[in-house]
Amino acid sequence: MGRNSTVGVARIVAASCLLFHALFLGQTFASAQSASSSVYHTGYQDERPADAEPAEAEASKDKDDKDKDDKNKDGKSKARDDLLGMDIEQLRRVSVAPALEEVVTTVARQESTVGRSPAAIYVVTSEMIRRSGARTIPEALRLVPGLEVAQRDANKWAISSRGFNRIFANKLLVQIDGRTVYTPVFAGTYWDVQDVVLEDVERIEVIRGPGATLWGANAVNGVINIITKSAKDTVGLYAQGGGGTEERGFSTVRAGGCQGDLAWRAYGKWFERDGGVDAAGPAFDDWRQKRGGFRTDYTPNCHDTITLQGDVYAGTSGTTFFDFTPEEMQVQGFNVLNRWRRVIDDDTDWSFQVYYDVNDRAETVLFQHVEVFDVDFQHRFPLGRRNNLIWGLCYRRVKDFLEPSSPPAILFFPPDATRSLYSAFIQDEVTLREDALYLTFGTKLEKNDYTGFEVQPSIRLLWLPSRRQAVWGSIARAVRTPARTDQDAQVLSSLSGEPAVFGPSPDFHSEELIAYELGYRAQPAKQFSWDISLFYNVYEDLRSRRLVGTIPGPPEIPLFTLFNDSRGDVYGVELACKYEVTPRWKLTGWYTFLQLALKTPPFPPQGVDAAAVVEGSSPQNQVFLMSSWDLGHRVEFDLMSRYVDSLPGQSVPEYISLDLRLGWRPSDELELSVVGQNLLDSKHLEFGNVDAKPVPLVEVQRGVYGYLTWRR
Amino acid sequence: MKCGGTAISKRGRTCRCRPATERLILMRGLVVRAAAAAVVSGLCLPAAAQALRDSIRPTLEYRVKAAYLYNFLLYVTWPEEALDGSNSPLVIGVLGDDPLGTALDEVARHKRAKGRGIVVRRFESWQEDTRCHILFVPRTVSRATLTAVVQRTRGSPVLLVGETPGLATVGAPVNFYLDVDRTIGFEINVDATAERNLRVDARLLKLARIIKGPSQDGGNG
Repeated sequence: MGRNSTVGVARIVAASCLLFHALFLGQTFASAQSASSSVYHTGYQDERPADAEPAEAEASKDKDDKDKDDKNKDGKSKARDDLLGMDIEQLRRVSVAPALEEVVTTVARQESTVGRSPAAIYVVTSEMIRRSGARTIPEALRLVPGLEVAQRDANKWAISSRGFNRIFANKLLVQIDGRTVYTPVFAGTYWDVQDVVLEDVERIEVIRGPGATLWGANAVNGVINIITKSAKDTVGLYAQGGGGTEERGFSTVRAGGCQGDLAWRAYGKWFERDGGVDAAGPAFDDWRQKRGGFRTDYTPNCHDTITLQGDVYAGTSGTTFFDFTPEEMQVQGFNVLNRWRRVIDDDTDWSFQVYYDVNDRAETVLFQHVEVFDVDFQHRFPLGRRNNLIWGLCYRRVKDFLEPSSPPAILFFPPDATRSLYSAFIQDEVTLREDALYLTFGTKLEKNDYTGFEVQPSIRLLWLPSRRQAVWGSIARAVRTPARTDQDAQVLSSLSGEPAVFGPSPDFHSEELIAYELGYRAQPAKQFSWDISLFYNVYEDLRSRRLVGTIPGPPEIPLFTLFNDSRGDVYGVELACKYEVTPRWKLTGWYTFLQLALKTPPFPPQGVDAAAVVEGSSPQNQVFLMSSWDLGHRVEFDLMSRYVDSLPGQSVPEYISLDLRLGWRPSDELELSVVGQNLLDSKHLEFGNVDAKPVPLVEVQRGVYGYLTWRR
Repeated sequence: MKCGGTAISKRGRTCRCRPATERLILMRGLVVRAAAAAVVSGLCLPAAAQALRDSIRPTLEYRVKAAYLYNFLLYVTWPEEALDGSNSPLVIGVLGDDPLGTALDEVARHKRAKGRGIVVRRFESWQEDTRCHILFVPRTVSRATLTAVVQRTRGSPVLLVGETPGLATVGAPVNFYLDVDRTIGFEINVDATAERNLRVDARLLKLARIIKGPSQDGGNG
């Protein structure tokens, strides 16, 4: 990775100097402004037309009285809270929980806080997404420390955590509102069909490291949980529309309401994205999709919440991925989910969830139809004074139909299959010392149709030396179970120009990880918090390829199948911090380091160093900085910059990207934004192809777009 | 339990110190005693009081909620019969363990609303005479009690303010919730306020999440 390192470092230093200079100037400007006028602070209510309510007048009169009181008594009680002097609108904006108290549910399958989570967790809030100008979920994930988010082309991303990045990154589990979107066919996530109204996202929780004890197989290197807001929180109308050079056009409309115990929302959205550029000119990776959905939350009493939600989508994703011939891949699908949650008291609750998810992908090389049916139950209760127990059961049935093209390029044996997954988990949190020391241990036990039983235990210790500090450590086992593509697929491909056949591979079994983690997080001041995590991952039985024979010719074609001959160690450091310089200027930054050391038998026997390809597919160093700055109470200026190290395994050079957003709210209801993405270069490469197939490499272009948002 | 233990040990230490101080005072006569008293009262006592006060200072969440309660006094209009005379104080009641503590005391000490003083009353149980204008019910109160309080205050001009998820839906006029951006929001059940003859200012309604129901005849499940 030492290529051009001096130049690289110089560029980082220059970029960060520039950045800080700009920010510092900005800061001075901001304080000058706030000094000249304090109206900014109170925000929008000053311009509100005076309501003709008599009570209003009375209230304002009282407020004047109150202000006089304040002046008279100030001498006596200087130390008094200024909260009592605030307007009700200001009060509504006071943030009461420090950064470490952000609510998360991914770590424990129950509500906890970041500060009390014995795992490397990070939360992307809806506000951060809005300020980033992100249009897609992968763009929002770029805010997460250490996550490798590489755009392969306009509609494909390679997203992974702690190494092993590919288009089908198979060690990262992704869920949207409790529905897993990890494809059981190709082991990975089809990011082009994962979408939500980003305005309706409450938060995105990301765990780096294993989460298999609670979430099951494939949560090996990370878990992403995208959680949307309750329908109660999306009452009103919301509309957004815009377009630009790369984001050709997009629009979203959402309406929500609340009648007694029942809250609902419904949305529709559409977008069209321009393709990237490859060596031959424009790439055929343009992307169009329309999507609609709803959510209802019914709360008949203070114990129960019944949620019903669903989405339906259809679109085309341009692709040249499997073949040189460009084509418009047709995608469509729908899902419906029902959850009943009953809270008995603060420590006791249960929930029951059922969902049904159907996805179709029609490309020349393969037609996929996948149906997933999932039932999930979980129950939490205290046992004695020290134990907090959570357990659950899950059944999932995956039915698929995989029809090859003719002539075939990829075949599945059998072409249609129904696979079942039974799983159970139990986890206990033991309070060793109240508010100081907690021990969490548990295991997942599951039975799948590929490898039989899998046990995925973990043990975690959390020590809170003070209210503002947390130290945690964990040891966990997780497995990546085979998908259809691993065991049942036969790929008719080529190797160095010669035909070759890969699979099927009935002997391929689960890949295994034992992870050791250590973390520390602290909030030394109200405005500043930081955390660091160290990890050491030991992998066994990683996927490899082996020449097993030849298919008699002429010509003789070599036959390779998948085995578990590869192993290796991966370690790294992730450092993140948040700094609220002033109430109107927030900085978020992170740096991560990652090192993979794999031992893989050379593949093919005479050629490529397979280990080096995987090792060189994840950036060794990544740096990120985001600045969110309110230039006044109606103007926002945001900056995001990333440095991503080179990917030698993908022949991708290092790059620095810069995104800027300028937002203006002419009124309470209207917001205008302009976003510039990848401003530092006209185009750059983010990902190649891990399997070294001769497909065109698509470069990501600079893009500018503007949009109008209306909320009511 | 842990808190109780700490308090006892603190008091124990104070007791051990007192004889030493007294001996000192006796030895040095009147002037010294006066000086010591001055020093003690001038420095130590306020410092100790301040320390004690800081140690039990409510969390930011409850300081914000106390400020909200004060604002509710400003933006809610009670019917005439709920106000005895023109200068009787407005009463904020708290049921059960009071997390608002000194934050609410400060409101009572330093603030006035509608030209009236503010008084804080703390109730051990909902069965006692809980007559007040605002009744704050912390989330530590059991759900059975919550339901009972909602029922009991139904129809009387009491602005019941809770902080338990779902409480507004079952008929509490106001309920706090922790919003996604970690601010404190509040729900207003407009049917409940109407039923209680309370008029809520538009400015307050605009900031609130509006809840309706449950219907008059409907029980609370």
